[in-house]
Amino acid sequence: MVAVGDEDLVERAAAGDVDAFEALVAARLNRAFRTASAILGSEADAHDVVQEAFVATWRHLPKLRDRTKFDAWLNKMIVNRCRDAFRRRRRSREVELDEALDHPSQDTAGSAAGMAALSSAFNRLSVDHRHLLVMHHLHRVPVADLARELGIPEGTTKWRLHAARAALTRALEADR
Amino acid sequence: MSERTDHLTDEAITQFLRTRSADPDLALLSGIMGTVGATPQDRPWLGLRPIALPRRTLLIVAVALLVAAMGAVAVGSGLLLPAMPEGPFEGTWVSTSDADGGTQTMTVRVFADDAVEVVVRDDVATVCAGTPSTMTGTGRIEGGTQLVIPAPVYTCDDGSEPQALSGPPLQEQLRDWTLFLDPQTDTLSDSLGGVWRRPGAEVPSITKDPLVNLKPVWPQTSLEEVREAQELADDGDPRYTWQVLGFGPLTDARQTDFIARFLQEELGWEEFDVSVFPGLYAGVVQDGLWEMLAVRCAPGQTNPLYPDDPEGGGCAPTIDEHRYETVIIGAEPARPDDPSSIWVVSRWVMLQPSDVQVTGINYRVDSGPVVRRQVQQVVPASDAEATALLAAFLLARVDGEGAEGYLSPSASQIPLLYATTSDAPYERSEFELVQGPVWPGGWREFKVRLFAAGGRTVMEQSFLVDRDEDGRLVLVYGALDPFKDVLTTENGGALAEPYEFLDGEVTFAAAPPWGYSFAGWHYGPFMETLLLDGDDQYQQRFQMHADPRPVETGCRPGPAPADAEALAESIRSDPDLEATAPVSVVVGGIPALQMDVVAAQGASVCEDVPAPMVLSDIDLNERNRMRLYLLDLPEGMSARILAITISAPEANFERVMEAAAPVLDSIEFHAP
Repeated sequence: MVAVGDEDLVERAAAGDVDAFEALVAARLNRAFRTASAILGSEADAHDVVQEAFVATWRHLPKLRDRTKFDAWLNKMIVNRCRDAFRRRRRSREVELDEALDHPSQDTAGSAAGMAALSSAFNRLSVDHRHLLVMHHLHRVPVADLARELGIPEGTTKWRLHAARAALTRALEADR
Repeated sequence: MSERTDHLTDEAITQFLRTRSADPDLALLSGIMGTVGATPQDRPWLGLRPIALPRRTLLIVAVALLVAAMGAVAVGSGLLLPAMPEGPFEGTWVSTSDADGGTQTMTVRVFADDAVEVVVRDDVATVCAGTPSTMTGTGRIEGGTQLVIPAPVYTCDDGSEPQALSGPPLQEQLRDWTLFLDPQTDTLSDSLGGVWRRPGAEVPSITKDPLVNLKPVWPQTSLEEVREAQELADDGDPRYTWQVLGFGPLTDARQTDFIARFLQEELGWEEFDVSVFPGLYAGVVQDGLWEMLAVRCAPGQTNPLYPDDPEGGGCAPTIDEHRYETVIIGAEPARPDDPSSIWVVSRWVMLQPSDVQVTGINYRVDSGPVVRRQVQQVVPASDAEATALLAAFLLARVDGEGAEGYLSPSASQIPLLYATTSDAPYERSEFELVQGPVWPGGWREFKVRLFAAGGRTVMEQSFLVDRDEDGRLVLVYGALDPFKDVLTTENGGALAEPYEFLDGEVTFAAAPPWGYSFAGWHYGPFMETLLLDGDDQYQQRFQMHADPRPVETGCRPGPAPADAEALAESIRSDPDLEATAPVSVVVGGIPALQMDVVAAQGASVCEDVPAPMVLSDIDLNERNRMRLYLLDLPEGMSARILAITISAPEANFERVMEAAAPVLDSIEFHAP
């Protein structure tokens, strides 16, 4: 769903209004970047993914039939490009991926090791599981809204979310 | 009284994700809009109706016409081209990121054709040994929000030669120096990490006194009481140390006690439940504020709608048959970032009745206009309703059409809806209740069976009976056990799922309990699938690694090998490994070298990975065995060498190899 005021912006952007699209992007950029960086664990990759996703959104926006689904559609663009980023990385890196992904907490004294363990475990999850956890636990998206965005009933969403958490727990246990 | 104890995981996940995520840099919006401005939209009706030019495009056209006209006037009159009215880049900027104590001031002049002249003055330039410097350059505005100076000239005002502190020569570092405009904040960021604001513009401050904004409501009600309580807690006074909940993973006992005392002493609730759905609503810490949802249970009563539910059976609603008194509580530490801080409840809200059934929503205490409603339990589907739904659904599957209408919108993901894997239509069906209804959503899990080929093929699937937003009963492809990976079996076997590697150049199929683990980039494209059964599931690995490199002393990757044979030889010569002689086999129609590898006695291990490395990023636990396949890939594929490894603890190795056999057999190569 998009906010009532934003529906007009989506409509205008779909008609080719760059300023309207810029307003849409500006309002969503932080969240989109946080989503991508949390899923990928790399700011550089998140930068590319978010840029590609917004440009693709602009390009295909006239073909979005249900303009109220803009945010869900954008989110799907971002998640799909995160998936692509994992699949299609071609450029060489001189550091291990896990090393690049780890951002131990600076402000939670005594929990840096725990954060590192979580990071290692999180890196084992599928993009879909990562996405669910990011949406619910980072962005605080209520289950009901997640269900609407994913187009599935609340019950299914709850179980998928629970399964994602379970996968994270299993990965944590495996790393111990 | 019943409580759940999932707080630790909720909080840990949230805190972890907060540290893992990041805010975008200022240049990203500019970069996006710069590209957008140059990217036409795909229009399904292109050519059928007039194309509406973007407003900015119209503006650019108008400006171009104006400039052309002015240019004509200028040429005609012999006057110099006048500067355009002040644009977003035009004027004076001050660096906010100059760390050497000096002040960098930049003047930008924009001319009619978007040509730009920039002068940057630094009164203390580190690259000039602390003397003043001047950088000048000309460039062009691109996409409205990006200013590129291809070759800035940097000089020290005393005539000395500027010296880069590190990296390439300064002129090289400065090449294509780019300024990105964020119109929202009127801020420039440059390609070397500098940030520029208008003179006098307020620089956002991140410092604040945490106590200033604290509004304690329980158990202390004023800042003075909080300060006094904190001092006494610091001295170990047990009247206040129970409020010390720590940070990071909170201890369940203290957390539960804290909330229980609030609910009992402040709200007068005798019984309650703080997790309406397992693990999802037990509490979240965000920006130091810990939020918790709790429902009140009628004391000593059995829940009439869920008498047998282990969680909800003892939590009967207090308002009517469905609705629970529901409170959301916000608590926070008096001293953020101090694990010895006492915690106080700073806000709590009794939630309002709902017109719709709400089984649990991640409420926020400060969510403002977000609808916050009391939790309601769902009336579970009756046996007759569930039976009717399933019978109609299965009949449609046997008929070969119309089953989608009984499903949730995720129906497209259901495999074998109308026929078996060999396309045999279904002939009859049956179903049985597995579990449910489960509080508070009323979920019931059923196992359905469809028979084909005269009963020789039996397909079995798990479904949940759920209610959609309108209260309509629907079927959801899933199970109540979130760990259940196999939702569909055919004659008892799980369905194989497709996997791809190298963008589909390599494909294979693996049935659960093989499960996807990871795909990404280590020293080359890498993918891992795990046999998720038993206690060693994360050690039971099926991995693919494109263009792996041998491992040299110190666990560093060596140079790329010439071919698979050279790679095999390097493994055999590694004193930390014991490897069998390579044997020629065929994988996916391609010749391969197969060898078994174990860690040598007393093998040295790497610092990061406490195991010897077989290949770059493929380690081998000392108690594990590895079956390794090395292949020279055909010409035209995106990698030269492919390593396939199957590894497992020695005791499980043969069983894992047996499970991996069909996966290996399914490997196909698709050269572009």
